[in-house]
Amino acid sequence: MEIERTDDGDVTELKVVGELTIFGAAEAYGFLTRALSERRDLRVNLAQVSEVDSSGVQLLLAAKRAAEKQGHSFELVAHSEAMLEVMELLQLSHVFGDPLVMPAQAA
Amino acid sequence: MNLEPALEAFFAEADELLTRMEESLLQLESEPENDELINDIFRAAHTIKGTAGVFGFDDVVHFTHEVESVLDRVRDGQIQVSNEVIGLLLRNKDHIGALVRAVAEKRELDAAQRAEGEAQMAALLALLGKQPDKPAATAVVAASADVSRSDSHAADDQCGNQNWHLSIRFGADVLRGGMDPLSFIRYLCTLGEIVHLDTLFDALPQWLQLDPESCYLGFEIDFRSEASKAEIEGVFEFVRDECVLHIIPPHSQISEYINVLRALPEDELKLGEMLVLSGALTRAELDRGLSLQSEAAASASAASEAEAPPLGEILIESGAVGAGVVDAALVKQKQVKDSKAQEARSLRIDADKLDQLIELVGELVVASAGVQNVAQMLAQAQLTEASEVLTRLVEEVRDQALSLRMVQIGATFQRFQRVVRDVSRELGKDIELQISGGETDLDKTVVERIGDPLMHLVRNSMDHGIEATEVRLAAGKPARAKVMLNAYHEAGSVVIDVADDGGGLNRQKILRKAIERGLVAEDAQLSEREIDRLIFAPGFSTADQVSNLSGRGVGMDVVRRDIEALRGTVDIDTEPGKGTRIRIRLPLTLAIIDGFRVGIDKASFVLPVDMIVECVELAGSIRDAARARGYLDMRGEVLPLLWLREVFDIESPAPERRENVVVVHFGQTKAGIVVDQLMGEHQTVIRPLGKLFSALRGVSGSTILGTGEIALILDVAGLMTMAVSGRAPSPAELAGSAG
Repeated sequence: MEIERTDDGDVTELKVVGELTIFGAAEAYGFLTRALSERRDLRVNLAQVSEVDSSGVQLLLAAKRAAEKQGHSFELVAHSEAMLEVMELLQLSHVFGDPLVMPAQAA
Repeated sequence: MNLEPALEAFFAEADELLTRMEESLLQLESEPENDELINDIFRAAHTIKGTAGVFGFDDVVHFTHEVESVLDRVRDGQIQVSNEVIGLLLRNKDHIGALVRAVAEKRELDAAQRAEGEAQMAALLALLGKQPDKPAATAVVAASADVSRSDSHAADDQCGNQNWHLSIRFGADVLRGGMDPLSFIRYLCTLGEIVHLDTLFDALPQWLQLDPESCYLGFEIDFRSEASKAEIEGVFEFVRDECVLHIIPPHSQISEYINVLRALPEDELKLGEMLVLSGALTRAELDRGLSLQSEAAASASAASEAEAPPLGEILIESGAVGAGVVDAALVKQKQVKDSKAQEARSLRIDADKLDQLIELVGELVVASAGVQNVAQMLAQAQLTEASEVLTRLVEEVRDQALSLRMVQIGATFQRFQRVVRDVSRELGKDIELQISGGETDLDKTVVERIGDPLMHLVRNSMDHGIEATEVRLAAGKPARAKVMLNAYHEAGSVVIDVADDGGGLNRQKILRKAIERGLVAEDAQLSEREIDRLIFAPGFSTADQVSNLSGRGVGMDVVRRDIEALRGTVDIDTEPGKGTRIRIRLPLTLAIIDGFRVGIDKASFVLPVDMIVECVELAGSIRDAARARGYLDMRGEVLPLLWLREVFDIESPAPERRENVVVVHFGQTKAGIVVDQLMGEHQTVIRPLGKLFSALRGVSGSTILGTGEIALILDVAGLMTMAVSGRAPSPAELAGSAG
């Protein structure tokens, strides 16, 4: 798993590439901790996420809560198919509240 | 993080379950009315399916599912237990085993296995009288959508919900254990349809307290399925100990929901929000349920608001009603704890670790022998005493460590039930297997390596030993033949008997064949025993017909070699017309023995203490007489003697005044081994001799003494053959593999 960071004005965009699973959970946690400590709005780009497990889901949830507690926004964008599958299975879309773009074949 | 340990556990478990399934199936054949057996088989299949599902082994799940469906019908009495059904289920069991092995070895099934699987699948579906999968799926969806919105059932205590309600809280270590809660949910989807799912993350701590590898998730699931409670529970079988799971069946009492909610770990959980949101209960049902329980409470109506009272409060408010329930819950909790304690009593340990431990204990034994040696030399009272205490403890440690490796032979024996069943069908003979002494302990390595020789012997008995049914009846024997497996301990070794009540060995035929094959000279005069033993000669087979079981001429000599490689012996005892018994004698363990040290000149040798009967002095005129005759008159019995000095060609004069005889026994025979000195008991760690000496007879291994010297361990069985045959063999004969 890799996380690429770009700054887009006031928003920090984190692009997760690869598996968002227990194997990289500690690493992702470290990265998010640094990002949260900057106290900026966060946007997580999920386009390149190949696999998500429960650890990935709870990490995103916890990060969202932490960011919002600081009064910053936390946004998930460009969900990959793997991410969408999990969001749907766990019926998480209302929890994150981000707009989801369904791929055509999934409809 | 890796999945390997969990997978390993699955494969080991599947192995055990399949074995159990087979045993129960075989037993079911004789007791078709035994419901307990059917349940057992069902549970085994079910557990395999469940865990395979968790790991996503779809092939296993798919196949096992149909097996389970058939078993379910058998359980309900819709399918009769017949030999055909049992036969099919046995083959199913084999195929499940093949599927699991394929997964374990990360390979595809070969064509033959796939064809077998398809054939079995067709047979299963035929039994079920159906075409595969989902006849009413659409109807289910429609109905469930209807139900979750229905308020109209609120008239009684039952709720209108036709869905299962599952409440799961995963333990913190689930992820670290290599299991992903998501995969359980995915597997659940194969049993039915998730109508509604709430992911609960109330347990998530503040960001900085978060451990990214712990699991904090819980789920409330409404689930539409035809599956039974046990099946749904089975989905979570693999995390059963690590999660809190409540399953509420459809149309349950509202109070049941309330009870479950009380038991949930989230203190601040909003009762109303939860229940209604999940669609488990309608708001009307919920209100009524709550007002029933907490009429006196001031904030009864608050349940439907966001500011619902905390769970604990409701618990107290409705205390009077819930007292019994709470007690029941406490009892239940205690039971769970007790059963956990039970489970903890046995441990699965990596065999390698055990071997390392035993190896270390071996070193410890040698080291402590060294200490004892020094202590004896210094002859200081305190040191001697201390070293004796040490020695005793080391002995105990050794025994305990070795006993860890001991397993009962019963499991190995049980496997033959299936073999006997299948082979007897194939041969058209009616044969039953009688097992006794299954609780006999044996070193694990020995148990593992005795399987093949036993298989050969059992098959041989059935193929060659047992006569055709007509022949048996003509001879006045019962039509049903018996093959018996028995095990017991005797004089430091384990004896395994493979016996049958068949026709016995045909000695004339054996002799004729042996002469034909040039194994013995035409004019040789052989005793009956010697003729019997010819079947162990290489390249010997007497079957008139080559069947696909045995009779290919690679039989008994391989068995003998296998057993001798385990430092064991094999003996045959046969009575024409009555039957044959083959007796295997194996050492209890391969690693450490209690030895008795004897000396010739400066060399030390070790004999296993278990085999020693007594020691006697050999001096004076008796010695001269024994020397001349080669045997000793032991209280009127003839005791053949073997001079160890001559056996090993030690070129030093025998002591002038006296020698000693160590009387050893092995099986039915006794013999005396003549040595210079007796040096007492000695704990012996057996070290195998190198390949170079593998053909050496009379010596089974070596050991290092406390002083650092090397002593050879005598192979009593081998030496005795020499002594009993009444001659002192030349070294050349000893070195060759005379057999």
